[in-house]
Amino acid sequence: MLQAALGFVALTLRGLVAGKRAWAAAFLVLAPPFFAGLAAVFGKHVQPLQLFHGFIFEFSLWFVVYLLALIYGIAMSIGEIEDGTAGYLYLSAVPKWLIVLIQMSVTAAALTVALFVNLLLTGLAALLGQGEIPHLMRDVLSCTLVGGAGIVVSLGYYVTCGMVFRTPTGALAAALIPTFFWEILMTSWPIKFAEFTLTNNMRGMLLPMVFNGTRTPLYKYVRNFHLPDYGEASMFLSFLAGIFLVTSMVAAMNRSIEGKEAR
Amino acid sequence: MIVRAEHLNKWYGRVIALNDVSVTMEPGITGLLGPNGAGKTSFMRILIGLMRESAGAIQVLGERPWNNPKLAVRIGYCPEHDGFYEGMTGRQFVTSLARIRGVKDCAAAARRAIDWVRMAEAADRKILSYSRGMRQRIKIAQAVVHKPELLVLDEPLTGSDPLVRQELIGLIKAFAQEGGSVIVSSHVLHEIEQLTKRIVLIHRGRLVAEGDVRHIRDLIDRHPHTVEVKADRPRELAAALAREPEVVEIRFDPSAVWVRTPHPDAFYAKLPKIALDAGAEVREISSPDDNLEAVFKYLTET
Repeated sequence: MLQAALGFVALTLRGLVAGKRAWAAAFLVLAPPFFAGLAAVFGKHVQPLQLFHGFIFEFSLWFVVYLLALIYGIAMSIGEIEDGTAGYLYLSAVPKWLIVLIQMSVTAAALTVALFVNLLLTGLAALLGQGEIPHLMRDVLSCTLVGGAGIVVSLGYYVTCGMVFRTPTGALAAALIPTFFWEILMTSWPIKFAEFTLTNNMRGMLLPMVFNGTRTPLYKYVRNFHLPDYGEASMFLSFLAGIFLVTSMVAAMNRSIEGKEAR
Repeated sequence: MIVRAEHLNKWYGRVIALNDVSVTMEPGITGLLGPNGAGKTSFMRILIGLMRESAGAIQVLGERPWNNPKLAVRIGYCPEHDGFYEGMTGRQFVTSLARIRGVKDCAAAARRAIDWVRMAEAADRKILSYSRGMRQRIKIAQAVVHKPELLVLDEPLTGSDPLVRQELIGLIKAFAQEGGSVIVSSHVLHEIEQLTKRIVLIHRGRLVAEGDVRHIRDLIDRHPHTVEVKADRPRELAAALAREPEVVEIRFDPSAVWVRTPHPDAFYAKLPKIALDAGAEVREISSPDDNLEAVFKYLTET
């Protein structure tokens, strides 16, 4: 069984760097540093620290986290089923719940590394402007930790969607609609329950780690409600990660691999 | 027995894929026949544990297949549709699948399986560049790499050219001769006919018949059989045959008479005397019903 489990690790790693999704992920990882570099070189009165924090806030720990998790979460669940490769995977010496656990763990770790690269490159690109970033590595590592938690939660949710819904359309709709209405709208336009979005919990964790507890202008949208502190946010994200991990494993155990002919 | 299904049902929403299928399959090669959409693939996927039955029960090699990894590695499965990690070479593909099935020396096992399907030369090429026949063979290689007791092949011969088809038939027979059991599906009866005489017919999710060809023919004896009689005086022979109560339909051309009869045994018994009385010399008697295609047609159209 250990041998088979290691086989899944190797297969998952291979899947991460194969196909079009790898190009999409590379774009997501490299686009923010590219634009940060452009802004640093050609922008007027651009402070590298503000630029770096701005990119973290508006891109890396928001769209990049969600989109990376979406691409790989859907690929490893309904994508494998649609491609016909799930039939091979689920006829193995490893129970389905463990297959999902291995795939998610490996993918989350790899995406966290990708996020680290994204953050570091963004910081270095911001340094092309005039000024400095006093604690670049501290900020990068802190953001990677927080972003990693966000990746685990999002990945768990998207894999659950891919396992529960029979069609790619259904899975994508279930994945994207809450992301848009709950995460993006609620976070950008804070109203009641805004403290329960994944994004605001990540931002709550960042506050003491990167911003020394000061709500900089980046936090302008969250001045009027209670932003979870580090403890509350880490608890909330851990709870969500646990819930979605379990639901994805349970969904995998109950998922029939039907194939296209069933439709 | 290798498979025992009792009142097996599978439905997708309101669509019934399998309807109260009860069947047992013995070791050896068993052919699963039915037109496209008959429920063969659904049956096979339940059988190997990829799908859960909606109702009923199934046992494969004495165990329930759903969520049973221990049983899964005793089965080899070759799906109908191509699903590959296209960026891999054939060798990487087979080795990876051997590893996740817990094979200890997976590289050696993959080499053996690849040699067995005669893909050694192309094994290090990317699957993306494989022909249809190569893809079929590499799929069979992954199905046998872990030395399964039961091989489940979903339409393995579809789309193959005659040469590849003969090679694949040879491989399937060789697997069975080495002691393995095979369940192979097809919607083309003569393909199965070359592999086995033991068949299970499925149509519209229902089990239509099971057994060997002769047994199935016995089941359909109430339906007219076609008998072709080649004779030198077909017109006279046809006139004589038309008076017989066993004959329900008759047509002829200058070389032969075709008769449809629901009682072929009685017809065969009477034919020599009828031909003698009509002064016709019978050169050859054949029944297209001996071909499985006709049997299948009878059973599924009624």
